[in-house]
Amino acid sequence: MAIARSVVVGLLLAVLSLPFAATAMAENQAAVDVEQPPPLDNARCLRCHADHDEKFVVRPDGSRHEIFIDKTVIERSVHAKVSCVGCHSDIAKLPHDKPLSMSIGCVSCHATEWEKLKGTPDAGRSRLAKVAEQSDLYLHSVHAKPAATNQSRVAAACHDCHEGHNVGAPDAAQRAEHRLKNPEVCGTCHEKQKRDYLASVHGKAITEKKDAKSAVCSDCHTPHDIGQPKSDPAKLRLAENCGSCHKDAQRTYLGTYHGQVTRLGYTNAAKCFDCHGGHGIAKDDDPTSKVHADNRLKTCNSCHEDAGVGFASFLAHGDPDDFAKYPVLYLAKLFMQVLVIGVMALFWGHVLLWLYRELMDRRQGIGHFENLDQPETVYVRRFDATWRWIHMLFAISTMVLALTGTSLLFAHTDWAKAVVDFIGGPRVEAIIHRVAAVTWISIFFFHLWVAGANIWRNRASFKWFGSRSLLPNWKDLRDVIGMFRWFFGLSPRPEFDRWTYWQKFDYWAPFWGAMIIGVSGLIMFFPNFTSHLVPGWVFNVATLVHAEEALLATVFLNTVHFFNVHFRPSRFPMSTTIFTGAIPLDEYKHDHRIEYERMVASGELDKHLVKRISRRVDMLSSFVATVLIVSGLTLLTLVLVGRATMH
Amino acid sequence: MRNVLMTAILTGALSGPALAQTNIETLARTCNGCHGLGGVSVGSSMPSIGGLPRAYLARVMKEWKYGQRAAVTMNRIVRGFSDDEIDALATWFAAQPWTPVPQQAPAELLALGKRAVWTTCTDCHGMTGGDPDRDAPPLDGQWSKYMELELEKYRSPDLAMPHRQMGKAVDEVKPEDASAAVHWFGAQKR
Ligand code: HEC
Ligand code: HEC
Repeated sequence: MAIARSVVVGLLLAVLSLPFAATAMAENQAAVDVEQPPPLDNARCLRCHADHDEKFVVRPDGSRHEIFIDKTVIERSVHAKVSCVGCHSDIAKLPHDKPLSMSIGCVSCHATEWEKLKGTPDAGRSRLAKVAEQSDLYLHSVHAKPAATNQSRVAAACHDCHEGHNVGAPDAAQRAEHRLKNPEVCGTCHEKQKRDYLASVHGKAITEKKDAKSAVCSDCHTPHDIGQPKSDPAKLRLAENCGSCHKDAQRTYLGTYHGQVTRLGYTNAAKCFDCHGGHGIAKDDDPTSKVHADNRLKTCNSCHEDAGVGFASFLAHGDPDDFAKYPVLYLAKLFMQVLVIGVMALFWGHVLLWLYRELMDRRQGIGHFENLDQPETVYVRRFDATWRWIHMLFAISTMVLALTGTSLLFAHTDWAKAVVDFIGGPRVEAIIHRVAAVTWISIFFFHLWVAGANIWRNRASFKWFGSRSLLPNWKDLRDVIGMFRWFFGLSPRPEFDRWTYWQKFDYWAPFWGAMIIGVSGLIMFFPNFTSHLVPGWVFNVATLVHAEEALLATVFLNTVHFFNVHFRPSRFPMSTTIFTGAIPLDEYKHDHRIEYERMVASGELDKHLVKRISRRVDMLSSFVATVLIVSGLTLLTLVLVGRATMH
Repeated sequence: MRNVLMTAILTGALSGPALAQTNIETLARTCNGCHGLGGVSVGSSMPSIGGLPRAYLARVMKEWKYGQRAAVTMNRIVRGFSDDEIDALATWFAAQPWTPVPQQAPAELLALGKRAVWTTCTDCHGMTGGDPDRDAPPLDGQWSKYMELELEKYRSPDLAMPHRQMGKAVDEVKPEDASAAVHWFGAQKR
């Protein structure tokens, strides 16, 4: 009865209201065109999809699907102004197909929008540039390749990771939420990794302490630039990304051989996860940690098969700037730096003063000048072939050592990468460095033997502190003082015997160098062997002093030695004496006056005079000298660039 | 005796479907009186039911049977049916073609109706009522008088109409617009 009554009332109402309805219609009609399909605005979608009471639908196959979309979530998202069908673009009419196909073109839409914006004044402020860059990375990532289980879809599409309706702007609250959810999101597919991760320090910090700063998947793996985990670029990127939080650990790591090789772009050496583990990373005092004291040697052994106990005490993150933690390293570095700075300050001072004085003198016509009217025809034989060859091989092997060594030390520079790439990677570099080292040491001992034999042969007349000896004597001290007096214009330039004090210094310096560089180098030459004999920190010290001393040598040779021998005004641009063995008589008189006069007096001089060297030999020796000098200066430049840009 | 029983059971089991087939034909014929031959109604307050979606047919009849849906007549009719019979009837009627019965209506009413459909009803029924969404029946060429009565049921607070979303849609529009809309639907042919 109630039904019948209400139906009648309803009908009555309907009939009565008809005329009014018609006028109402006439009033608004202009606003819309009913011949066209109605616009697909969000309100229409949300009528069904924002219904709190009916969040799920059951499909004909019986499966339940959530269709609910929280309106407030969309309104908070970066896409708040984009309409539903802006993304769900295959909806051309309502009602739409069910289930809805998920062909959402995030990448293409962002690309088109960015194309439109690029080059306009707004481009700089837009996030789209970043999005375009990230989508490009994604497109080249493994996630954009067909899934292994189903070739008809990609491994992971945008919406598999991004909560489609809830994309937050940078710094928005959603971002923080998503961060914490990241392991879950990636874990949907990468289940084992998720399990390991959740048990790790990183995972526990997120789940137990809700520490949003702890590393989530994307911090290490990057969000979009996901590579095959076994590929070199992916490994390197991972190692690099640890450093975005563990800055000190990364800095100290990069100071070690491991870090240098990694920085050069090679995966030969241990990277963070090789020692610390990846997903299941644990603190080093955790007995399950790969770097826990009990497990450490085993971890080293996974690359260094025959490594001795010394490896376990190697300070893989030793920091020579941290006195409290690494006093020995600190002191070693301090000592080396004082040495480097002291030596360089002294000799650069010497060079500058010399340059100044010689230029002053030359303006007044004092010093040694080439007589152009009477070109030099007489030379004095100063070095025989043995010494010339020794010097040549010494020079070459030293440069090779310096180049291959500093390209590791300065692994951060582009030139180092280029050099290492060119010679074929760190493995080849290690071999070249060792070959050059063996050459160097062999020459060193060969020279000792030759020198010893010479002294033995002349033992009757040889005076240890005599004029032919390279041992320093009192005259050298007087000469030093004399030179400085000359620099300051207090007296004329001292006169020298066969060896000047700077030549003696150049001669003895490699003894010191051979000691420091040689001993430390030998320790590192066969690390597996030496690690049975010495504790790990010795390797740290060895690496440190080896590098500092090598730097000192490189800079000294290519500045001070070059000036003393080649660049001082009376010699400029070069002296070829060490290559031809012959010194022009005039120059000889100027630089070794005492020996010259002694030889004249004893009538010995004639024995040592040689004819003017041939033009061909002259050119050849100039050529060789040029090549060596240019190489040396290039090396110097590279080293200075490296040193200046370090850290 | 045992044999006879066995035979009876076997025969019953084997001929079950065949029997049901004929029963459904007969059962469906009982609907003709009100819903017309093949479910194409000829009375303006009686809905056409031939060609409605099977799921819809089965659902509404079960809702009546279990007292979840308001009706003037149908709840009494389906009460006697088993769920299986309801499903069979639904299958039978769903297999019939949907045959619109286009009805005349004043042009202004149709224009008003079209507009109301354009704004509110098209998402679930399509512009002509011939493109129904999930859950909804076709409305093109359905009897408009019948449809107005159905809308009345949705509006009445005392009557149970379980489909919430359709109910909400009815509340969204003025009664006169809804009425015009069903006249628009009623005037459609395929
Ligand atoms: C006495 C007349 C009568 C008979 C017989 C009858 N119906 Fe109905 N039927 C109606 C009425 C009236 C309605 C409208 C709903 C109501 O208020 O009961 C209706 C509605 C329906 C509807 C809903 C249609 C729609 O579009 O929602 C279905 C389905 C239906 N009937 C099926 C049947 C079937 C199947 C039979 C045969 C078993 C049958 N009816 C027999 C009177 C009848
Ligand atoms: C949200 C979707 C939706 C909207 C919008 C909607 N309807 Fe419906 N309508 C339905 C569904 C679903 C049914 C079936 C309901 C049921 O099963 O009880 C239905 C049923 C009907 C019926 C009864 C049909 C029958 O055969 O019994 C009529 C009449 C109707 N709608 C008219 C309209 C009109 C007029 C509008 C616009 C004012 C409209 N509807 C808007 C979903 C909708």
